[in-house]
Amino acid sequence: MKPLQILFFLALLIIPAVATECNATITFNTPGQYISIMGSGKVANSSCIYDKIADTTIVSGNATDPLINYPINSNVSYFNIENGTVYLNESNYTRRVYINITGGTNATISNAAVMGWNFTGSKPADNLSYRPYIFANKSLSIHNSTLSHLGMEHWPGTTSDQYGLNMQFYPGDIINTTFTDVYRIWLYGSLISSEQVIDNVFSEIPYIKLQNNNFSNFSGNRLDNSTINILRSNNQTLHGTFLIGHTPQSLT
Amino acid sequence: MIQINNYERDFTVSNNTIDGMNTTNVSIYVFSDSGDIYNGNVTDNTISNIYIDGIQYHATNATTPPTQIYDQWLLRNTLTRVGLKPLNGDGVYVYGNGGNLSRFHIRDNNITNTDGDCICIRDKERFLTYRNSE
Repeated sequence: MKPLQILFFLALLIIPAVATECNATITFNTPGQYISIMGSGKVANSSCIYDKIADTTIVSGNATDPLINYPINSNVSYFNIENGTVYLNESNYTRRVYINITGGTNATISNAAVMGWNFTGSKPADNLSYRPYIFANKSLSIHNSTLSHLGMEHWPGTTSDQYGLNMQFYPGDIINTTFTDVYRIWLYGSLISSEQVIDNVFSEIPYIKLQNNNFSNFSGNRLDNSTINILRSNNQTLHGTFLIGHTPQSLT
Repeated sequence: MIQINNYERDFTVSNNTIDGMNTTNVSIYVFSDSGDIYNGNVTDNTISNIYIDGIQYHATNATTPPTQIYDQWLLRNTLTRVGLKPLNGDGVYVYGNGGNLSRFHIRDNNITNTDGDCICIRDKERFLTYRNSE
């Protein structure tokens, strides 16, 4: 086969992938009271959640900047938040609001913002008992984005924290992203992972924990009133951080 | 604060710039109370404006056997205005606290304008070497 023919066939393989963007099954699970995104090999993004859930009590705003009022559970193969702002409405006593990336999902947050939001007060979420959060136990990469006003200090009636960003076992790379007022970040690897955390700004983050990672690189980051904690890991590099101020001495 | 905790090995903390803004925490804190820490490089960092220690290594006897921190290289760091009054911390504080510290190499660090000690070493330390320019 000639090179041009090879290119042609490669193009045929690529074009359907683009054309089938947002082909996941997106529904509201009424018994579970959450937004379900499913489909092996399928793709979803934040815009199509707005497009496919025709109930403004669940998702409102617009396709580029949706306001999410219920939890999102994704086990679709590719889940992307791109080129817009996803507002996660503040939780209440009966309902937490979060993004849960699980199952076979590979997820990205790219050129976007995810913000905890107090819809009633038209302001960023500021109640540490009710703020939304992001949990991923499958790969999540975050590039050129902003995450803010996430994470709850304790769910009412419990003593458990909910980290604003909690990436377990398969943490991806975090590059050129700003984190503001996120109540704790936890990147927990599987000792085979080697994520890159490069050129980010962490502002007012009381606890950034990197745990069980190998050969990870935490470089070129700026920490304002934030603490980075590295434990149970091998071959970590922490280089070129610009750190101003401190949070209270952190936990182990 | 940059904190290195239990079971950590083969780590590098280098070329970081830390301005504590006159707060009361350690800037680089290598702490073990449940798992040994070894093979660490803390090099070429710049630390300023801290009321207590600029850099602290701290093992403990919280477990049996006590924890160990060993094979540590602390090289070419620049510390100024650390360990300030009234808290009077130290530039570098290496503290056994019932645990074991061994094979530390503390060399060519520049520590100035501290109200405590430039380098303070306490308890159960072995095989420590110094060659500094304080």
